[in-house]
Amino acid sequence: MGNEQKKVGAVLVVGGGVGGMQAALDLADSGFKVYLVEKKSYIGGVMAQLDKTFPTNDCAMCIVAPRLVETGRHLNIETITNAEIDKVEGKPGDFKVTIRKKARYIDLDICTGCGECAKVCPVKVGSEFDLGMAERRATYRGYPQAVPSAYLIEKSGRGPCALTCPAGVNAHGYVALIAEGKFAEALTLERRRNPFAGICGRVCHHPCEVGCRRGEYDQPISICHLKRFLADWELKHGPLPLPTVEKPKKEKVAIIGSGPAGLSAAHDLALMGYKVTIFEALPVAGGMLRTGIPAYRLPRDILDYEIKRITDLGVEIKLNTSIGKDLTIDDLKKKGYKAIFIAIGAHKGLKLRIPGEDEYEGFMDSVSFLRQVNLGEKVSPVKKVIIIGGGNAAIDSARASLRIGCEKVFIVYRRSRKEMPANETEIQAAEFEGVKIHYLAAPVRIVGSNGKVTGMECIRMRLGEPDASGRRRPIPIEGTEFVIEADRIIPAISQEPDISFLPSDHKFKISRWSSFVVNEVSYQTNIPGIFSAGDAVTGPNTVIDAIAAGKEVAISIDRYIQGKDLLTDRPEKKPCEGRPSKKAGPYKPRQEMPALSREKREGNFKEVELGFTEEIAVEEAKRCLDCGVCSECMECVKACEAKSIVHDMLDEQLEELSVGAIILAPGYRLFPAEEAQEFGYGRFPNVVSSLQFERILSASGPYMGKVLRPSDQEKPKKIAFIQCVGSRDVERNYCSSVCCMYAIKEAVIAREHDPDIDCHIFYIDLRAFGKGFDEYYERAKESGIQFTRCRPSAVKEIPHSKNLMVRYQTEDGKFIDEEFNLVVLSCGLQPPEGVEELASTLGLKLDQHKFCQTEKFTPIETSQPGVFVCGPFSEPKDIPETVTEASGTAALAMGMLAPARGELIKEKEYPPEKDVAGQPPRIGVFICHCGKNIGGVIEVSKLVEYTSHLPDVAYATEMIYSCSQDAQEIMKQTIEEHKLNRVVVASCTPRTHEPLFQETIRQAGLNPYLFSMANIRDQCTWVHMHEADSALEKSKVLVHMAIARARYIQPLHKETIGLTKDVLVIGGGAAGMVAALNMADEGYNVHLVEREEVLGGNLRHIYFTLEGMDPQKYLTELIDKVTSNPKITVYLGSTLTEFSGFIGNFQAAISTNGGPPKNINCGVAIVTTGGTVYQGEEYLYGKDDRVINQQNLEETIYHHPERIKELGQVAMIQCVGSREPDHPSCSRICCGEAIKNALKIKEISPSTDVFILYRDIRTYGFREKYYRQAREQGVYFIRYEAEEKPEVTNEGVLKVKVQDYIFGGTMELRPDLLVLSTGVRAHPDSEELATMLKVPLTQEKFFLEAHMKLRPVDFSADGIFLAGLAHYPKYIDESIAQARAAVSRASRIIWQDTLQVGGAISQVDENLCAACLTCIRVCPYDAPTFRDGVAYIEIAKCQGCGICADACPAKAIQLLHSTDQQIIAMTDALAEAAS
Amino acid sequence: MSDRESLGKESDDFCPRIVAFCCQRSAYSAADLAGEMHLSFPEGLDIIQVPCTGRVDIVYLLRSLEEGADGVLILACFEDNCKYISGNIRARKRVDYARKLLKELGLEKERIAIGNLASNTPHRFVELTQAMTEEIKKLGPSPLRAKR
Repeated sequence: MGNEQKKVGAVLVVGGGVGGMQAALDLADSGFKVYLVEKKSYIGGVMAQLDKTFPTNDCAMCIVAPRLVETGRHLNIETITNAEIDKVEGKPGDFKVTIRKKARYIDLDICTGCGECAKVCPVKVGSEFDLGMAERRATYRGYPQAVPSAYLIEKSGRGPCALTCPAGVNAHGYVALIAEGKFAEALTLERRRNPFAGICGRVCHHPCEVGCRRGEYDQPISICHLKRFLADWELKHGPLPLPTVEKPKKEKVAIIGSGPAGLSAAHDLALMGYKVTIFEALPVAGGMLRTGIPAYRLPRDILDYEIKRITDLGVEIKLNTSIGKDLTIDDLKKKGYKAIFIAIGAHKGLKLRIPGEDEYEGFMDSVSFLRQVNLGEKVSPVKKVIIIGGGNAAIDSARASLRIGCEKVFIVYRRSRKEMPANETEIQAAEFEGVKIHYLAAPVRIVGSNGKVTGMECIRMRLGEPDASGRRRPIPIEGTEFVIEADRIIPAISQEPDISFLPSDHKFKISRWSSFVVNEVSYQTNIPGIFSAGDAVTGPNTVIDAIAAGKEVAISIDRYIQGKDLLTDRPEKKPCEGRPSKKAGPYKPRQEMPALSREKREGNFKEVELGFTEEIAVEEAKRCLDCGVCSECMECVKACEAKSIVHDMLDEQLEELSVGAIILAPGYRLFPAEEAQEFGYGRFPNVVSSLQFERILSASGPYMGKVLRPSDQEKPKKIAFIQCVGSRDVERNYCSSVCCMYAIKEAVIAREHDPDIDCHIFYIDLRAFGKGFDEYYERAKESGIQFTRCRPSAVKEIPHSKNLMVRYQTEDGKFIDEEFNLVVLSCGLQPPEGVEELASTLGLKLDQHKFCQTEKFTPIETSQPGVFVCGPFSEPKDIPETVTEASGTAALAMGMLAPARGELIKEKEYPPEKDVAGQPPRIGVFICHCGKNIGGVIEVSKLVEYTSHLPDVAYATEMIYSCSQDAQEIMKQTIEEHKLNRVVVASCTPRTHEPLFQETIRQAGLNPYLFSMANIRDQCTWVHMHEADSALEKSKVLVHMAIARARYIQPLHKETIGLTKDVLVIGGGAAGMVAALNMADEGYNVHLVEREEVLGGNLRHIYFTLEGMDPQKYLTELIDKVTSNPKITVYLGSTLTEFSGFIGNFQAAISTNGGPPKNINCGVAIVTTGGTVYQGEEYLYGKDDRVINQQNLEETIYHHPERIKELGQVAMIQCVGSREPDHPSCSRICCGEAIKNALKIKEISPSTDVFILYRDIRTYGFREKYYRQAREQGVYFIRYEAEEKPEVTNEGVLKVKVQDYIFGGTMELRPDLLVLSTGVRAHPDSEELATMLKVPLTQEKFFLEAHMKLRPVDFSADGIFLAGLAHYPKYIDESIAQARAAVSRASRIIWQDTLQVGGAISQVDENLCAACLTCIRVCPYDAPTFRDGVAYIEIAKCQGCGICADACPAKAIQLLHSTDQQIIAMTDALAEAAS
Repeated sequence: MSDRESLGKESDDFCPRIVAFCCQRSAYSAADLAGEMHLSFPEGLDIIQVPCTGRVDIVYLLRSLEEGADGVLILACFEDNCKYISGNIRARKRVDYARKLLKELGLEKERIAIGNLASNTPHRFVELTQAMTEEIKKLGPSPLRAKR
């Protein structure tokens, strides 16, 4: 039935950390297509952030980086970053998964990772990778070794400054550039949306500043002043080039009016290539900018300059040409203007409509007044002036009146100051200059005598309900009339367009405010081809609104002329999404604008505000909070020579994948330490999280590996580590499993960096339960790291020193306050963010803490068939367990999808290889500029010239990016054209790029080994950036060396060997049976060898689990499945007597009950031989029937529960035979076993007292829950120290004496039963087996894996794998996962039909071999053997280290591809080049 | 000796030429990272990548000196961290032996040295290579260099 259902030979892996990568690599190496989906922009997960790993102190990056590269380059792994699962449909075996991808804004396929974009990016934000302790740019990559290595741009919407601007001017962009001192770039950017920086930098009402989020903290950024600064800067430093005009078009456009709307439309149209003519009625251009705004605010030379930049684009302004009289609109059409823009503004002042208005002299509206003043016409001063209104025109009129010599100037405004529409700074300036403002007063009547104005009668107002404009409506208060004396009255209440130029029979639609009615998107009037905008449409409005409208008109006119639709796809205004990307920090108000003193303003129209200096501008710009992160300044676009930046990439894209199974490896999230408020994280700079401390320790971290504290970057002398932060608390009754060890490691490494640092670890139980962990802990104690058993209650900061006071209680109850320089919080593990969404998409069950729910006997399977889980998403765990589970999930997928194996994978096809044997070398040399990385430091052409004269160089050339796609094509063609037979690339590092170039030359028909690389970037131009000459000289040396080597390199070929597909599993316990079944599921024949007469191993003695599952039922089913499976041959009562051969081709002999051995062949072998229970003599064990071990107790509970009821008191002693000098390891499972049995006793017989005598309770992970349950149910836990073990005596009754640390004194127990938690020991036969298999053991005789962290089930000998207790004590679920992991690793080999071995390995010259056997002695892999009188190196076993070649006294061995000849050629070339 | 003394006098602008045999798993990557972080290491340092420092033959050390290098440095993984288990330890022993030979030849033993580091320790790479450069500066140019 299962076979009928469709199976897809592809697997989706979610999460690209160590788990995800492992699963992906196992599957992709085993014939499955893999989609690796990662939420971040890079793979590598948290491990990439770690400094070292415990217990081996390996550098985390060293061991994970090769895996990153392998994953990133794997032909059958498609890595999809910035992506998440959106939807899942279908059935196990055949899922359809929709992936949601976030934009990177940089094309992954084009980006070469050169980093030029980040160098020019002005936006700095905290680096996530360094947890905010270092900065990165908005254009960035996660970390230097990130895979993919392409950069990306972080955008989270646009900031409010850009979005509130009607013209969409990118204020964030130019502010960011100013902060970097890039003033020319900033001004150029500003002008992309607004050609009037000088004008708007002075008179704009700057809604951007109202939106600015810095204002929520202290004050908004002074955006307007910064804009003006740019214009001023240009005047001082000379004009920037004009923007490029597109190809000229023949069509003409007429614009009526030269105000801001008309000019901005003219500017944009001119850039599009149109011929634009502006008709201006006045003798000067500028419209209201010139007639309405006085020169002290907007100097005329600024206005002239910016208008000139527009006429310089080819725009013609016809002055003194009013439309209507001299020329009609129809005339314009006849003259061939294809479109007309009416931008006449609103130049007609409105009347007050009160009595006396037209009766007296001395009454003039503000438009006329300002026009006369601004055009330099003589306006005589008077003594007293009243201005009516509250807008900028009123203020301008008032300040202008003072300047022409009026003595007293009043403003009458009917609302209060709050409602006043004028700019606040303008009002302040007017008041400063002496203008008096009457608020809440309205004119009632003009008073006069002798035909002249003498004053104005006003009435007091109060504010009522808000009106349609949202402002409160003024209501007159009767009987409050009063008179203000005046010689002149200037109403500045409003203006309207003057449309008197239109003929009476015009067809335009006009509103009742005399304005043009237009389409609100296109600004087209009711007459096609005629447009209007600005004040002519809106009535009096702001400059920037007029500019914005002008720009829209330009778009409409272009579309109109080109015959396109005016309305479709006009850009919509998006709501503001961008949030500040950094904290505002301490209060820092905006920079003040320097201004003229009051005296200097009198009687003149000199500009009042003096502008920012460069220093002020930069300081001000640095206050920006970078809302939305990327400022879209476009500098990266200019910097990227590969043209990979796509700012308008769609934010999100969906992609559908077809997969057979899904593996979840989303990792974890560190407990947010600020939630543990008592420790002050987030408030005190010197309280850091454990992951931050990892970065502090890391050589590539924020302090370059120096142990410094954040507040002052001083060396800490005392560091406290507080354990269990976010673990083992009321809310989270689980243990995070990894924190004890990582804290010890961090303390050890900190002291390695600086031995003077005191480290103090505060812990509850020290949980060093893994392989080699307890030894590590003991070494740490010996090295002087202090351990105190307690949980500190609070951390307080000492303000002046920023040191921290840690308050804690010792076991005897004393409170101590101890001062530290740095506190590290050992934060627990939580499920990653977004898991609820993931769970609901996939239909997964989560537990109460939102971890993925799994079952004891199916530990890596979720509640959804076909969906598997690995790593800390199912329970907190460390790296090796994650990697193990990851391989385990791969095995499950392989078992399920076996029929589809190999169906979707790609294999590279290559042209036949050219035979270059015997040809003289013809070397082609390609020298890379790497953008500016190399080319910016050295003269590449000189290097090419030098290179071309070196021996055997047939061709040398330079390339901008030698790794780009097109460069590969050029390389291939060049190889053909110039008949090259060796290739040298001088560029970056072979570490990342050698495989790419090898691939390229192979595609060109050359053997991939005919390649040599010179690292002239990472190790030369980057190192000697500022010494161009020596960098060039060194590059010559490096290239010379690479070429010298290339002359001697030879093609190498891997050998193809056959293999046997059968599997040998040694050991028939749970691990062995699970492995055998999984292998059989995949279709392989399995030989399962079991020493006992029955299957089951240790599981036969387990009757309960902590979690309440039934192990015996599980075991029975397992045995049934194994014995009934036709692919599995079970050998009971059997042992292995011989084992030889190598990967794919092992020969084994199995003897049953001592009978004659049966020979079998197998391709791989899995060791699952289990362990045994320690049998010691401590505590009267074996001498008194009342002293038993946990296994005995469990059997009694199961078979004779009635006996339990008879017990009054049971005592248990932990760590019997574990954590002892002769056996230092923790047996990992005894704490859980003791608690399990204690709970069972309490269940059967609640009145029985149970005492557990322990050293540390190590109920890691979710087992912690049962520890708490046991305490709640009255089980007594009494701690003892290794130095003061309990004393057990038989005095008729059993007596157990133990020191009690909590209450002090000795406690005496008289148990009816004493249960010893005897540890797990290696199987006594393991030594014999290890010798036979030639695999190593630990000191405690457990089998030793190839690498503790990343190869937990492999042996260093290829083709042999490991699982279960043979590796180390562990729980049943862990054994099952590990068994499956071994299957995955084994399948990776035997699914193939042949194996490729050899290449760059050692080779013996038989003629030289003296058969001294040195090589056999030194090889760590047993690769050399003695055959036919000489040494022979087994190709499949050789790992290519070259140790034998070096050790061979007769020089009979050479390491291919690193031969003596090749290396000496390099040393000699070096000498030659240098001299 | 007088030859060397006179050469040593020039050591103000003497830029020692040092050949560094770098394990591809540690030192070579550390050198890359030093570049990535724009740290500066000695100009006269030339790096030769080897699969494992266990591969570095004594001949290479001596030949480099013979050909005029002022010093030879092996940069290996930390002991216990060798991918090939014992390669770096063998390298250390070889360096010890080579240094004895130098003494017999009348050359300073300090001209051959070994250092251990990990791939993420670019600063250590810089320190080790600078220390070697300083050491060689003290000794002055190799007398073999003068003979060439």
